[in-house]
Amino acid sequence: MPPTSSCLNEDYLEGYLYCLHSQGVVVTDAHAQLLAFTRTEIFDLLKVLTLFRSVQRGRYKMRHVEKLVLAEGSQVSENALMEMIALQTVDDFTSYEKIYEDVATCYNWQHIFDRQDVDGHLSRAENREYQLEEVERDYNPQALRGFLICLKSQDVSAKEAFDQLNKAAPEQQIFELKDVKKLFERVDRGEFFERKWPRETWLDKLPDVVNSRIVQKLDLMSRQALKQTCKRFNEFVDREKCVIDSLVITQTQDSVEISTYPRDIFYKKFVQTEKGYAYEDTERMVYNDGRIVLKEKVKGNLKCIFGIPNLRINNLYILDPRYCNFDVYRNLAVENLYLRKVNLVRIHSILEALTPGVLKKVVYLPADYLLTETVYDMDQWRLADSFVTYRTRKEGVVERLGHFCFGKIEITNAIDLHTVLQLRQRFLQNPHFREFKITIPPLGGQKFAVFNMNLGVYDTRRSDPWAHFHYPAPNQHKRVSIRIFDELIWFKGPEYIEGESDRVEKVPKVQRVYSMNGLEYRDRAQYLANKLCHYTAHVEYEGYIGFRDVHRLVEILLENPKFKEMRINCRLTQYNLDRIYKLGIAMPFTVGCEIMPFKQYLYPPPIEKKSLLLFVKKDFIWFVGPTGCLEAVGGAHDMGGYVLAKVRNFKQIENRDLFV
Amino acid sequence: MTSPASSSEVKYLIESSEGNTFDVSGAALRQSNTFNAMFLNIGADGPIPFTDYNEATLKKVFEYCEHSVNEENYSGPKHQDDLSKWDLNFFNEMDQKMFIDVINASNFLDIERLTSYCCERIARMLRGKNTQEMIKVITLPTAEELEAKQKVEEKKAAAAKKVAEKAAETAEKTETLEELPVQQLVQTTRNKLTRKYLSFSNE
Repeated sequence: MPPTSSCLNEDYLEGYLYCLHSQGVVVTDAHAQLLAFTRTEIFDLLKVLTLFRSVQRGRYKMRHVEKLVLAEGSQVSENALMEMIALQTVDDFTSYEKIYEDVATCYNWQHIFDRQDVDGHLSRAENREYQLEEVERDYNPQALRGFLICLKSQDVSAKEAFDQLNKAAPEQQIFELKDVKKLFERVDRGEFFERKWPRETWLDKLPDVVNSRIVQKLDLMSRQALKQTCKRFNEFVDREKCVIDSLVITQTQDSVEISTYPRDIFYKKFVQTEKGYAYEDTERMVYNDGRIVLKEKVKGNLKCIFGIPNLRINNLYILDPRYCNFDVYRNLAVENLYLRKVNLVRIHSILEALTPGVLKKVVYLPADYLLTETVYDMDQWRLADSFVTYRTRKEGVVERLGHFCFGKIEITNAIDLHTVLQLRQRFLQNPHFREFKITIPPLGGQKFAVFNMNLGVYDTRRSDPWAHFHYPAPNQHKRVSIRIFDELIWFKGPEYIEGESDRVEKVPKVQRVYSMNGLEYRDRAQYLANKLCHYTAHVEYEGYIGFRDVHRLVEILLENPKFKEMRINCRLTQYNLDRIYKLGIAMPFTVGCEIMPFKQYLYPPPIEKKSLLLFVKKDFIWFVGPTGCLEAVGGAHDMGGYVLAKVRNFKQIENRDLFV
Repeated sequence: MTSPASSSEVKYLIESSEGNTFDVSGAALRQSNTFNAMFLNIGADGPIPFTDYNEATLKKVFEYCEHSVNEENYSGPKHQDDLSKWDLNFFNEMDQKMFIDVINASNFLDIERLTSYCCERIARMLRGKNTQEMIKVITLPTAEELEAKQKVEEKKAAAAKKVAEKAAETAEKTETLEELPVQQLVQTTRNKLTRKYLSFSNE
């Protein structure tokens, strides 16, 4: 039986199809073979046909097509950078110097390519000697891997596969023969291809109750991974209920963050930089309009979350879902929905994605748009029982909002007595009515008196200010109470819960909490400071450190005059490094430079005259405190302003044991 | 054999799958909801049969119960750091087979705390791993793999034995050398040297 695989992405599969094309396989056969390999249709016949055509026309050669990959792992692609500069110059008529400077700043002023090369590239583009699209981009390693996997699935030897690869992708330098052999060994070990599953797992020996408890303790990504281990677990994980207390999708101008509470179930953040590119993941930086990458990443991750069968989200909080497309989802079980900065079209598509009846509460704060008929007519709206917004009009308020058991709204135009009486009648039909608070423009003395008189409250100072109205039979013992204030009309029902209106707007708990040794930290930097040692260590840290963390670490360390030194070996992303240098948290450092620029922070009073030094490089952060080894920076503490230390000194110190 | 009313000092007899019986204190046994439901109110005449599980497993489970008798306010492990040293040792001592048996027994006896710890431990083994890594973690070794592993272990043991024997031999030799009188020692070395000299001259 031929091997199968359903976990390869489209880049791999394009390489796979390229291989089939080079072997002379016709389109229909290639489609059938791919379908047999992937078992699910990732490429339909039309897509295969399109790919084959572009191969025939020489447009697709297993190189990057849609994305311009600037860096992969630690390797920066000079061609891609040049192309990016050329593209920006041609597109925006931006001056070359500015773009060059921008790119160079990102790379710590490293001269990663010659200016002459870029000039040549630009002049060719401007003279239209050839179209920019025709520039040969770098080979896509994943496509090449797909090509080799195709050959491996046909039992071709590594040597032969290497020869065929070189024929199909001349001048490729990604794979050498030893790499191909390594790849084939990985395939033999069971990677890439799905394994036949004759082997027993020890989870098989546990009862379903125990397995279920184990699955409940796993985060979403681990659940997905467990699903792919074998058919039994695939079905088992799908059967299990997955309850997320809070799912938060927040978006700023240049980033999207998807996080959950309880913590550690899911957390992802994608950042788009000012230059238009985005960090696709920790390994790859892509230039192709960062917005597209963000959109793709958010789509993929939301699909991963919302694709879980039996998923239930207690609180879904969406802030500005520009990159989230909810049109593709249906029947999501969400109980409470919190919306901010969401336009009408998106509100409609979000509500449509949710299961009617399960949705209980809609909080739309601050409301940037007035809701329209399309929303009011939806089942999800009619079956919900609570609604909070601060922007609505009195027109149609009875028909649109009268069915809610709980409401907290603000009406922008003046309300009349008739509407209030109609609302009272509507609430008296609902025995489960809890509370409705309507904030209104000031009524004024006369109108206030008229409202009260009509409700039967004649003297608010002496008698009970609440007007009470009993339900019709059989609920005659229940009642709705109404109180008129100058700027508020308050309805209280038989199932009124005290304090509900104060709590209702509160966004669910979403802050990440870090726990260590039984203590919980909300401040990430405080957690890092405690985790990363006792202020005097040389530590390896594998986690993520952002520019805000470095800033907070400085603040925390400035509170400790006895601090010696701490060197954190970690990998900072280019984005964070960029920010650290730009915001002046640390001095920019150029690779190959003879001096190490330290940023000096003076201790606040009463510990004046002492300073904390900070040096940040891509792979480490170094803090030197007042009691740290002074010779390390050549007596730098005595100097004012920025401090420079000679690299030679630093190297000597580097060999010393920094543990104190 | 025991009255259910008298609580912690009372010992109950437990019967394992091998037919062996052993004592468990009432306080420890009361952590099992299964036991509470079945025997606490009606009492038990003779040993309580838990014959689906072997003696070692049951002893391990009740060892845990005995230890955690005093810690009543339990809210489940949240973090690896929540496990005490004793807990960590308890889990680390077990091999894979024993671990599975303990989970099964704990699940049957409905000992909430132990089951929860075990599940948390397994979840921690799986968390953050990709599919391939998970497969490595959860697969049981096949008979061939076990055989191969056994062979390697045997080889290692044989090698270790050889080394030990050699060490013993050298130790014996040195001992015999030490035991010989000085004159005799001089004589034997002289003989050796002459033999060597002769062999060189012959060549």
